[in-house]
Amino acid sequence: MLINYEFNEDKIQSPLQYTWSIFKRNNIAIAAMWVAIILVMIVIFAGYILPNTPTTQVKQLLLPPYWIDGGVSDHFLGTDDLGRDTLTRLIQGIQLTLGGALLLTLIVSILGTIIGATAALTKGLKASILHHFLDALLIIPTLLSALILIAIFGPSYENCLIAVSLSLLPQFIRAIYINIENELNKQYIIALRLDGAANIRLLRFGIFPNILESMVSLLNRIFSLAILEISTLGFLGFGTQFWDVELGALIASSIGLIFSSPWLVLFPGIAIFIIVLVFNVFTEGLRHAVIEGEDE
Amino acid sequence: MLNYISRRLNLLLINAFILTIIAFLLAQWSNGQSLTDTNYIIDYVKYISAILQGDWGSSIDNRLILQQGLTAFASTLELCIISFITAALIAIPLGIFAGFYPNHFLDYCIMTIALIGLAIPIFWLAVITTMLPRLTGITLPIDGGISPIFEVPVVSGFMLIDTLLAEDLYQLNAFYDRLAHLFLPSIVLSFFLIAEIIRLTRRSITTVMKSNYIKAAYANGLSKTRLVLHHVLKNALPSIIHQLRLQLSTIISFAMVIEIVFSLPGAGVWLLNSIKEEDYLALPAAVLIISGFILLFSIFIDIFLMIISPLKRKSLYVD
Amino acid sequence: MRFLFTIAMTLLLYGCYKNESVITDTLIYCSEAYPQSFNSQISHDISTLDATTHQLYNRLVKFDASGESFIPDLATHWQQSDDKLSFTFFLRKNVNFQHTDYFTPTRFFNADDVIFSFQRMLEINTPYNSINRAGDSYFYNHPFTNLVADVIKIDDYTVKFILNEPDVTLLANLAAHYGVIISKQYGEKLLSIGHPEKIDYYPIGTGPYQFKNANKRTGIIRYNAHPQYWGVRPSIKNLIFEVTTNKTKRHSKLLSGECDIITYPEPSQLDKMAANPKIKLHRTATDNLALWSFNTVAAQFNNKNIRQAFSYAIDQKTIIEAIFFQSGNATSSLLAEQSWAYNPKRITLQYNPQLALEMLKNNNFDFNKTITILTSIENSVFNPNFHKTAELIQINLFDIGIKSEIISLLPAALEKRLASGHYDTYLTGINMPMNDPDSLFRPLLSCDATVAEGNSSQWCSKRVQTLLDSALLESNFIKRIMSYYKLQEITQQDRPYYPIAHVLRVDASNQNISGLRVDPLTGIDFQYIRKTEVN
Repeated sequence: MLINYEFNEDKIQSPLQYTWSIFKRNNIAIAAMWVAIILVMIVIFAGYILPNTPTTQVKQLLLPPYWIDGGVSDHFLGTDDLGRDTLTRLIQGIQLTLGGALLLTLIVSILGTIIGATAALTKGLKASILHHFLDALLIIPTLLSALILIAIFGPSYENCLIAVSLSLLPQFIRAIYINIENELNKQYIIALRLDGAANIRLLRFGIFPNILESMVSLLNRIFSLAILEISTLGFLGFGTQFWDVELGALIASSIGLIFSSPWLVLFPGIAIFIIVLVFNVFTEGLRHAVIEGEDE
Repeated sequence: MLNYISRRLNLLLINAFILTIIAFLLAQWSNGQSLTDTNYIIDYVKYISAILQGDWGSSIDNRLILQQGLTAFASTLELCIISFITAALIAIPLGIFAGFYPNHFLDYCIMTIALIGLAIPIFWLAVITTMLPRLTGITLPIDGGISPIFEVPVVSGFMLIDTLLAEDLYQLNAFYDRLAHLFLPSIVLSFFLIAEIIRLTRRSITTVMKSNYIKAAYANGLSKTRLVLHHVLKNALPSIIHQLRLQLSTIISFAMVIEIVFSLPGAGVWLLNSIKEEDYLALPAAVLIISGFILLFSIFIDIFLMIISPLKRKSLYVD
Repeated sequence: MRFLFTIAMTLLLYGCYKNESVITDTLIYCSEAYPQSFNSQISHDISTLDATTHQLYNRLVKFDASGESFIPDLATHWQQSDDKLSFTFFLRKNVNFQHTDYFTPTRFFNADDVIFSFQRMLEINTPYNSINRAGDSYFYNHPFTNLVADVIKIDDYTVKFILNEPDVTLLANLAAHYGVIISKQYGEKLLSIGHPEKIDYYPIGTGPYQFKNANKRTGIIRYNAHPQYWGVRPSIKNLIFEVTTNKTKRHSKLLSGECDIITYPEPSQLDKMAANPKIKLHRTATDNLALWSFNTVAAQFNNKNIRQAFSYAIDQKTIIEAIFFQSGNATSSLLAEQSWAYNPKRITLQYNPQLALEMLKNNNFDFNKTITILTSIENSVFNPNFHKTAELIQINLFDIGIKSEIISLLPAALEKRLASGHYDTYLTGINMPMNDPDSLFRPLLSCDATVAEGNSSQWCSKRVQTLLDSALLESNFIKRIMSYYKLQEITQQDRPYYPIAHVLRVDASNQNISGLRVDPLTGIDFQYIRKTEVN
């Protein structure tokens, strides 16, 4: 458990500090973490950092990015066919897509943990019904369930988020359930039980610290799927119905210009790619840190 | 063994029951009927008997939904199968290599490719791919399932098979044309699949490699090739297949999105058009067909896995 | 090893894959939308006209290539009576109707077919009058039904049209897309088997191509050459319409040879296409109009000064540059310049936001209210991109402090919304189905015309209605023109519509295609088309 090899009398670190100190050693993960923090900052402060107001219309249509011939420095990533600044719209898009996905991951994880834990700790008919119901929901492809929900509730950005969360929730509940179930059969939990620990205590101190690693990768998976699904629905025209600049919708609205100014299609796609990549690398680093912390 | 199979079948029935309830509720909703005022148990029984008799209703333009849905889904499956074969041929060797030499330079390269493949939005990749023929000058179709020149009668729904059956009409031209139309979409889909299979294979192989019996076999002086072929792969494969089965619904989702981008007739295009035309009866049909397929296929794989790996027999649920 | 295998397979596939462009007796036309039906008598959308008028059917007379005089089609010649109240047509003999697997005609075309075709429009009591009329607009009845009192059979090859009033537009009406001749024998057969609705979906006509099959889902329509066609038989044996809604894909498919001819390429690519020696561009001026209508029933928009102020607020030039590129001409008049009733003394539209703001303030415009801009999600021939046009308008309005909301809807939802009348402005377009200003002004301005038919401003004024009706019945050509001049002045003062552009019809074909004819009024014509090997 000791990290500092020079002074053995150094105080014992808390598990969190310990994990962090392992994580710090991974340079790529640290870089990814900083990019992720910047992205989250962009989401929160998008309103303040926009280089141009989104409705600004310059008389220069379809400008290429700055570094290509004909680009101007006022519009770093160029403009679209209505003369709007691409960077501005991209930032708004990131706000909608990433912000939506973060919010959705938060809600899904809270709801999923509550339901999954409750189900794991109860036995009998109720748990069985929930189980089978989740089984059935899990075999409906997420795109199909999102399409169904959107057909029922009507297309809008909010409904798109609801649809994606509802399609991801069963996966989360199921994974949490299995993880807790596996832990419950272990001896240290039985020991805790025999000590008279209530369910909450059992979860808080017995189970969760031990399923942390799979929780991290589960959250990462849900988050990546959320990003990809929100943008897919936006792309299909169901999420944001064009008038918002969700990243997928940005791609869809620029497809007609793919040969005259391909960057309008390229940039939003690269943005999605970077978001997913960065968060993946970050959580992968985190997961390794947690594993290593447990191993040693 | 029998016990296991009966448990799986039981599970199949329960899941199928829940699916039909979902489909029934959707059908009721799309017909604009509310549930409260009628005795819905009778309605449900009526609905199920109609479904069992093959009477799935017809769409706005008076086409039979069942037939339409099956043909569309067969086309999606065709895309999935072709991509899967391509992906497996490329990804499994790479995954084995990466798992066999963890932390090797090539391992990092392979895993980077896998990470990229998983992070790229699939619809975007599809859109970029549609640009390729025009940019590179290669003549490959980017739109539609087959050239309208060919009128291939629908027999199996799998157009590659149908084009072969219609050989007397067009020789092999229709078959090649269909292959050409599937080429770019299946490359996009297999890109995702390759990443996924590499990841799964590598993880599975590393787990197996850590186990004691492999170490023992190693100590016994078995050659590496022999080790891989006889022990590692045999023990790693069930877990890979199992994990891929869990990904089936994601793969089908992606296939549907790719179809929409390439206007390849299939379940994705069918559903999207139906929703646009407010023809919602296609939704319950899609739930029954697609999820029904996934359900049956999962059970089939489960039984297959049980035959090759007895450890699985204990599990109760589809996990 | 496996990698090499994949490459080898790819090469093999590539070697075997033959493109459509090498088959010279098959032509693929990539169109924008699926036709509403296969009978241009009842459907007036451009896709139907393209798919039917010239391909499946003939009319009694047609316009010559210049569009100014009439030439024989199924009528070999005709006479006008001295009192100008009747026209006698002498019909062509030995004309075959198409033989298809669903109908085999046993006799040649004759006067009965002419009477059957026109009775469908004229006589309410005929069984076919009400068939498939759901999507039918009022063109079906007006102005033709007002014009013709009766069609009489003199003998098997002579028919006489009796008019209500002396009217010169009869020939133009007969040459219009709805003047096509359908088979009476086929109609009777369908009635006897109880499926009269099939007459418009499994068509039988006398035209150069005959219907083989069509599928709305796949968007593919197949025609064969009509082997017993009376006129010049086409060199193309298989004519295929493939609906490709995406403009960029149409363009790519043209370049790759998957389409021989495409309609309406992406406007932003027009200059690139024009520079490409492998592509032939066919541009035709049309009367089709992209317009923005003000709902004159909605609060605030019932004031013509407010409507005028809005028209000053819009920067038409930027819309043309950003949306239409070279596929549309900016216009300040509803009527296109090439029309005979075009009033050259028009008020030009100005972009003057200052003036607009002043006018709005003088008329107590409520700047707190968000106005709606309704439009269609699906683009049409009238506008390459409705939503982006709406966005430009939104920006213009925002500049003078007006808040607006864009509502883009799918066709089904749009129809409902329009019928409810719950919108302030509507961004749309209208086509002029025949070379007669009445066919533009009546749907836009008549009190009888519904929103679905074109009157999206819900305009109804007694003065305009009187002018419309009197102009239609006026036999003196000069007086008629004067009425339409007057009408144009009124619409420019009252501004129920803001005209954006008259769109060009653009078709593009590969270099190996020749003989393409495009009539802006009645659709594309594939009769004389030729396809040669690509060298």
